[in-house]
Amino acid sequence: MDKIELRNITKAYAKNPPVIENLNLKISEGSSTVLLGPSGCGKSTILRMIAGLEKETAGELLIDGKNVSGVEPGDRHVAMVFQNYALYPTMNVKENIEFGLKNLRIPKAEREKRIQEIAKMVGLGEYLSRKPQQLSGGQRQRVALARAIVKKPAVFLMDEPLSNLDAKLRNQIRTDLIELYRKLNATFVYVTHDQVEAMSMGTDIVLLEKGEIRQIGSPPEIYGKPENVFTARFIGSPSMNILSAEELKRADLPVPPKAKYVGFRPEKASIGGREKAPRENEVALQGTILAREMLGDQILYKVQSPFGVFHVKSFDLQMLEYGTNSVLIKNSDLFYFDEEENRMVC
Amino acid sequence: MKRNVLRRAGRGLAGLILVLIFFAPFYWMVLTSLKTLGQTLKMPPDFWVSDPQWRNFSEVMRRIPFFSMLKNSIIVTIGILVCQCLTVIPAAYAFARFQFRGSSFLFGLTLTTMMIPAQMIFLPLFLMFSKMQMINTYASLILPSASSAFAIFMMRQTFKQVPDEIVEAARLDHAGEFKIMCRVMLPIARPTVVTLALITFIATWNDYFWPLVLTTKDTVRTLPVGITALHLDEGGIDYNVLMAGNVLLVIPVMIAFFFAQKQIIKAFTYIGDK
Repeated sequence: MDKIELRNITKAYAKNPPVIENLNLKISEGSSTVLLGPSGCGKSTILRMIAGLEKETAGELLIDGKNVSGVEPGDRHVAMVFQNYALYPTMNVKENIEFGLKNLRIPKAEREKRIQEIAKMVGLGEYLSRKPQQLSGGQRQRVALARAIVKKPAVFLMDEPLSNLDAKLRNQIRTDLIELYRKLNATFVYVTHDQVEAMSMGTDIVLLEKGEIRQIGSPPEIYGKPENVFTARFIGSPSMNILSAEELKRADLPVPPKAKYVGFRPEKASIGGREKAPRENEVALQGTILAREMLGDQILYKVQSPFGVFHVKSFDLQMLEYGTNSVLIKNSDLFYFDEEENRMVC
Repeated sequence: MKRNVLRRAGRGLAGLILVLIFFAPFYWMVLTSLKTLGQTLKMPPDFWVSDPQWRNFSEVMRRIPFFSMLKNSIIVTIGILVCQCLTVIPAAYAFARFQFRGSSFLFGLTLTTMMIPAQMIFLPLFLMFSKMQMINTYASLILPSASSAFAIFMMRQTFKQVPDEIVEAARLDHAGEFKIMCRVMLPIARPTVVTLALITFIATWNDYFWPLVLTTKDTVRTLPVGITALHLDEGGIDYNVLMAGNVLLVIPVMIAFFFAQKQIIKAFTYIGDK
């Protein structure tokens, strides 16, 4: 069932051209839907419209099948976690968590019970009487999470909740969030520009660019079956190598006639080692190594070929010498894109 | 090591000089209030009194209706503070958070009222109050200061510094606009509120001009008017009695400062919670 539905949503600020035009999106109940895209793609705007903090210029927004235009943010049964935590600085942790419950006139005994429960769940038990200024970034974000969870909302809206944290903490809280999602049985809508976060957090990923949806799919679909060059480039680290098909054709490599671009993932290519000619189901590209990066469990090579510069990720920790090497890619790992940058299925 | 000591000594000395500059007039006032009339005119002056003349204070109370004027001062000051809270906070909140038709025009209009000197409007104001038969009432002393453009401006700036997300979080926490203003925004703005209240308190408490213009009888006059009347008494000026009156006048201000110190420092070093 669809928990949230956007129908022909358009959003424009003042008299500027719209940031989002005629957007249609369905978010199914119980999913963890990640809105992913570069900054300025409209992902936060979508989230804020769902929360009711931003009014849609045109179109309909439905929650549980009901049009919510004109419904106050507080009455939409959603909770939101902000990037900068947005805690009330003059209230202590407990008061921060309690504020929403008080406004809902939930009796004191019930409030106490819920706060104790949640504080334990997010590991804030001993900090309840502290002020936000006395907490670290990670602890503050936990308070923000607790403040959202305690209201038992049907939908959690998260606006880049991890981007103010340092890398180590980010990984830790990301895992906590996944656990939380499994525990709470609610719908998560999660905004991020970080594709790793999106892949790990999402059951569905909505990839956006300039206010338009480029692709919707599960993480394996988005990674394995990119529908266009944008998706191919955005997902994966480093991103997919995109080479000009013209150049490859000229080198007598088998490329479908209508293809304009050819892509392959750096981790699907193998470099060096096999001096032999490519096997039947492989293509070989010659190139010189421009740079090597030892990343611990893998080595990243930047390779200059006649077809352009590309990356190769190798799990063979024997570092190759600079110089000319051959790169082998299986035919099945090659992606072809047409003139409109859409993927061609061959 | 040696340089460090020198630097610290220099800093201490500079501090001492500053303290002296601020403290000396105050000390002189208290000292004079405890002298006899003869001692006040002595040359060279005494910097200490061995037999303080406490009777100067009772003299103040004999010459002017001190307690009735003190009561008037308190009523007018509290009246103005309450009125300003009721007008300034909602106005500042509205200017800070809402874009409504004419909002910037109205805000500009509010600011221009700061540029009109009191001396220019006291005559029309006097005439207006006198036509309404309001001369010699508390209302005539309170109403001209019932709002303050400066306070609205300061509060608006403070409210504007609060990140939007905090207000949005409160809206998602089922708080209405009034609750957001009172429970979320005002506590954050507390240092500014305290500082503004103190500034208003001092200005009102010490105000001489308006009470003089808008009153003709001692029954509603405030302390500054009364204290000034001290030196008009009996031809000559009794500096000792005058200073005793001044000491009585500033005591409440000192007490207020003492309690508000911390908040004032905070107001000028506001650090948002990021």
